[in-house]
Amino acid sequence: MKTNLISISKSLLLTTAFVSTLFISCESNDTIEDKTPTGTQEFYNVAFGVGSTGNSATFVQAFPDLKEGSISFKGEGFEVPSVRTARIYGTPSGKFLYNLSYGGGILYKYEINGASNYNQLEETSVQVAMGTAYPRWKVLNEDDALVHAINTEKIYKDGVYTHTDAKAILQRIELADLSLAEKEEVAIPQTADDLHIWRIDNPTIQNGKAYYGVAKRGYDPNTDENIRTDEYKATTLVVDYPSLKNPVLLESEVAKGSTYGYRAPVYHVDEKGDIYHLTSNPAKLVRIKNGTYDDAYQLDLSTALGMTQVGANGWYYVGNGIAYAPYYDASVGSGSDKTTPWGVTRIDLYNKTAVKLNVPSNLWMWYYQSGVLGKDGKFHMAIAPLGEKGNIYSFDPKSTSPDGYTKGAELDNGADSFYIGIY
Amino acid sequence: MRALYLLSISLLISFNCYSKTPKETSLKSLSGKVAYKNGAPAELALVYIKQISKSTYTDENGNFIFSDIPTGKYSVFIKAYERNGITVKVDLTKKSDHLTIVLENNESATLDNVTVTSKSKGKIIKEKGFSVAIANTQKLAIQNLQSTEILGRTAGVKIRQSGGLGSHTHFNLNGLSGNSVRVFIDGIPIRNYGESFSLSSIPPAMIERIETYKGVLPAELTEDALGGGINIILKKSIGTHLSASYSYGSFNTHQVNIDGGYRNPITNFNIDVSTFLNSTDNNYEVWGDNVYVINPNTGKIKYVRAERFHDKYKSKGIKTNIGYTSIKWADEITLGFIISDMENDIQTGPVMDIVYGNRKSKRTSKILSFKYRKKNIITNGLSLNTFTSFSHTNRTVIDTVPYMYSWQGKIIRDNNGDPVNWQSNGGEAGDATLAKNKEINIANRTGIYYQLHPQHKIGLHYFYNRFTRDIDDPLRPQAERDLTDTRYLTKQIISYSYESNFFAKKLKTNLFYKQYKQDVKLSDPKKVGQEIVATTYKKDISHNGYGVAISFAITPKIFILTSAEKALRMPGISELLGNTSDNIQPTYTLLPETSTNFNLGFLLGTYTAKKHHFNIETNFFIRDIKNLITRGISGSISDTYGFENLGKVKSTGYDVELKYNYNNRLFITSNFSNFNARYNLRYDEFGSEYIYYKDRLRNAPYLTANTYVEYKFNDFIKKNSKLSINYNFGYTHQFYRNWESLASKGKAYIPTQTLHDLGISYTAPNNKIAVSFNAKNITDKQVFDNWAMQKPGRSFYLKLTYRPIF
Repeated sequence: MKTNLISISKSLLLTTAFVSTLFISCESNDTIEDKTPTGTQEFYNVAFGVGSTGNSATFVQAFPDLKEGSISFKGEGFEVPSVRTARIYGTPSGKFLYNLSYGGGILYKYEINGASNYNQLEETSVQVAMGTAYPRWKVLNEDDALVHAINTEKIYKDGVYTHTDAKAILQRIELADLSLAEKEEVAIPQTADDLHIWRIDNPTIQNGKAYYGVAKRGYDPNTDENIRTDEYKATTLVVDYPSLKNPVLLESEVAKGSTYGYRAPVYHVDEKGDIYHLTSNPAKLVRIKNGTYDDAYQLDLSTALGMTQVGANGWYYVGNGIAYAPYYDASVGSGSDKTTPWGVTRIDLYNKTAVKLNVPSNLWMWYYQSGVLGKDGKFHMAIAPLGEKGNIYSFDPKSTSPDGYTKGAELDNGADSFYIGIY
Repeated sequence: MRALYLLSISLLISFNCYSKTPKETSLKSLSGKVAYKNGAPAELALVYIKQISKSTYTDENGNFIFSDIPTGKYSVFIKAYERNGITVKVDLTKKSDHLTIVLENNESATLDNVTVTSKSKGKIIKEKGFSVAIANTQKLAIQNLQSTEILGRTAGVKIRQSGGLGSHTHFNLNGLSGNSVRVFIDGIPIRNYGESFSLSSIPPAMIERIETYKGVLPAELTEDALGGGINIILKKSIGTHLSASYSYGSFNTHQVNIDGGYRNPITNFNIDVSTFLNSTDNNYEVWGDNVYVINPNTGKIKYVRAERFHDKYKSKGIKTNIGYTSIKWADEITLGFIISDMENDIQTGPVMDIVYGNRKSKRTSKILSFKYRKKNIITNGLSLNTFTSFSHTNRTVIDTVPYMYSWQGKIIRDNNGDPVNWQSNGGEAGDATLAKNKEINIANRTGIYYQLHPQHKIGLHYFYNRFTRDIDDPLRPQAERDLTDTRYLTKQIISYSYESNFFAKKLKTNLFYKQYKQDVKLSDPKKVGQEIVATTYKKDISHNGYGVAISFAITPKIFILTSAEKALRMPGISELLGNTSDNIQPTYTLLPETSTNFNLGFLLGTYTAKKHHFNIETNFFIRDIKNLITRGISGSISDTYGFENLGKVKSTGYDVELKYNYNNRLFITSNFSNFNARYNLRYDEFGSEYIYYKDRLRNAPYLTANTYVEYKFNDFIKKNSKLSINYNFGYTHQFYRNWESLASKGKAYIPTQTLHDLGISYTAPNNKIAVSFNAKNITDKQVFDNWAMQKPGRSFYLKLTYRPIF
């Protein structure tokens, strides 16, 4: 029970929605459902990205609270080092900020001192460990992170293409000193659909296993081009944790498409130890119970929101079955297209309902990465309409109303710049 | 295009109709050499033919040439610096002639009062109104300088190299760079020559001068250049000559250049051969944030000072020209042949964090060219020049070893001693590859001028360029090799120019109109059953531009130059048709990038006060760029992106250059260039304002200065020997990698750089031997042209030049 609860808490931390009461419950072995989860962070890091293409710049600023005032990155903020783009994460304590410089393969750990002051504590290169300067990563909790990359190779027999092999390079990182822990190179099992996994990301851990979201594609030997498709069973890569061995693929019978989340979290563990994850388009929440897909459960966001087709990159679990997710109207177009309308929904996993929240129109949250559960028990997101000024939105997880939020600090914004999250 | 042809033909016909009775005219040449009795050449001696008001200066070897003089008898006035002039009679009624003038050694103090003003080739171009900077490479040829370094010292030009000799170079002209700036060799786009024959490999001794056109390109130099162009003029043979030079220096750098030529002054047959060989290890030290050794077990980083260990560069080439000048049916006819190749080790990925130990590239190119030039062809006043080149270039990338290397130059090994591999299927930067790029280029540039009236000249210029690229990689399975696409690009540009002069040539105007036409084609094979069927994608675009250049001589020493052009750059083949392997989607609707360019400049001087001479050049400019082609957003399942016409940039600024000379002994050239290139797109497609609207462009130097000082000691130790000491100071002001207005901490920037170079050159009295020593970056500053790519520190070079015949 204890390990299980620790795993639960780790998973919750992963969503950056730290549930402090869990530790209390862990010790006292109380029931957990009645407690209102809250965060304990000292600082909220607001992250801002500029440039949607090629090399983008990422900036952060740390605030003790987000209730009022205004936030701007004009002449303010810390420029997060990067070669091409920076992939940042916070931790539940709000004391540290982590960054992976994509294109250089270096991890950085910063102590957060408020405002634009970030003091570098550690740096570690994962280039040699991963064999690439372009890995992806995920901070799991206060202590651990996973770094991963996929290498694919087309296999020919007698000059005729047969299939594509995919190999995953998996590395665990101990965040205390950014040290390299277990590392494994695993051959990903082939699937019956003639497609191959070419990307994995956003893992979560539960009960001695790590669950990774995946994206698949095919290869057409008649054109020498990759086949881009969403027509495959939603798939999860599972390995033993922390050994990172024994890869297994789980396939859902009720959902299809990619599950790697683009840049947002996709897999969460609830207080009961069940894993819920999202598929991107059509956006569905599905459940993994006891290490296998529980096809009896599905929450189709399209149905729940009363729309034709809904897409989403990732979602944020707050606790007690309540979650928030940015979503888009996939019947209009791709989520990457700036003309496709976005919204934010409050999701009730257990009652299988979702409410459209009254956030401003003209949102575009393709790059949105993180929201955070605050000390006040509210779930905070940085929401700004495309190219316009926005606000911190503090959602009340207890409220089912579309207006169940308060607006906090004002966010200065402009064209081709994006609030990518609060960490 | 057919309409254009018809128009050009009808123009030709109309020339015929309006011309007077055709007269047999034949041009002669007059070449010669001016030297002192002891054999030292008289450099910069004035040679003036009174009857036709033509003049020139002798080059550093004392040679001069007039290649197109009408048949007749002339008196030629020759005057060396601070000597009395002499007059020589020549008879060019029957054939061309060659003069040898030997001057007395003793200096005469009397200054001649002949008031002939002559202009160098560079100044003539300037007086047409174009904003142009001329870098004369000949005087610097005996120094240990690369052509890129000489150009980089020019006002408004910033060369950005990613490393040492042979490394990737790009040019920034008044804030515009990349595809906006076109580079030419003798007026033909440099792409046609292949990368092995480029500004990085050609020794300055092979180059006569480098013309840098800022913003506005003259009609005869047609290309779709948004921000101007750089035209490298290769040296033309004047007389029989032979010279050889060898330079050795830091980083095991060897450079050899042999240049020989024969010219028959009577028949005007000439042959020139020049060769070059450059070889370097480029093993200079690098250090800083991007140079470290990674502990394979812990991932911890140890910062080191490391020597580049896999950056060898070798290039060699031979250039031959055979032809005639000043013969009855041609003023010049030349057949040229260039063969060159290069090998280049690749030390790093896009940043120094990624270290390679085996990846390399090889390039070879062969170019055949034909040049023909004739004045008064068919009829008086009509002139024709045409240049055609055919080139075949091959580029091979060799990357077949997947071992990871550390900055210590060693293979990284795991705890069992086995090499650690890049996770990339057999190569360092990706799949193991021996990819061969085969490119075939055909280019023609033809210009026809007709002198309507002594004050008016019209011109028609045609440029044709066809480019084909085939890629093949023997390491890929045959099934994939069969499906590799082939790319074709055909570009045609026609321009019309109208040149006039008024008020006794005080006011000169040049109006031009350009038509651009481009066809891009991609042949993409697919397998249908067992057959391979190619689908062709095509896109034709056509646009036009126009401009004007005006110069006005307020006094003989004060010129105002102004020019303006609606310039454009057509979208490239990948931008239009996409590139599957780079995940680029086609965007057939792309428009060309356009820029409204305006220059206003002044030329003041040369002013003389006793022995002080100086002149000042200054140029103010505006570049207003619209429809910049930028990358679109990539989708999630596909990870592909397309291009869009979104960007706007406005660059304003100025260059100032001051030249001072005291008694032909002390020379100072100093320039300062400052431009303010700002992101000028205020609202995006949704009407949102950019927070970096009006922000300075990212990652681009904007304030540069250069000062060159040289002092010449004449008669050093021995009479007629020359010793010169020179010093160069280069300054580049700090600039940010990202938008300047954002963030306050941790901002990545390229720091202010100050570069000091010293040199000393000695030329023996007979002018046959010259020795020069250069020390570069003497303070060993860490210098970057590009973010995270360090250039060489302190280095020394010694060069010996031997000229048995000059």
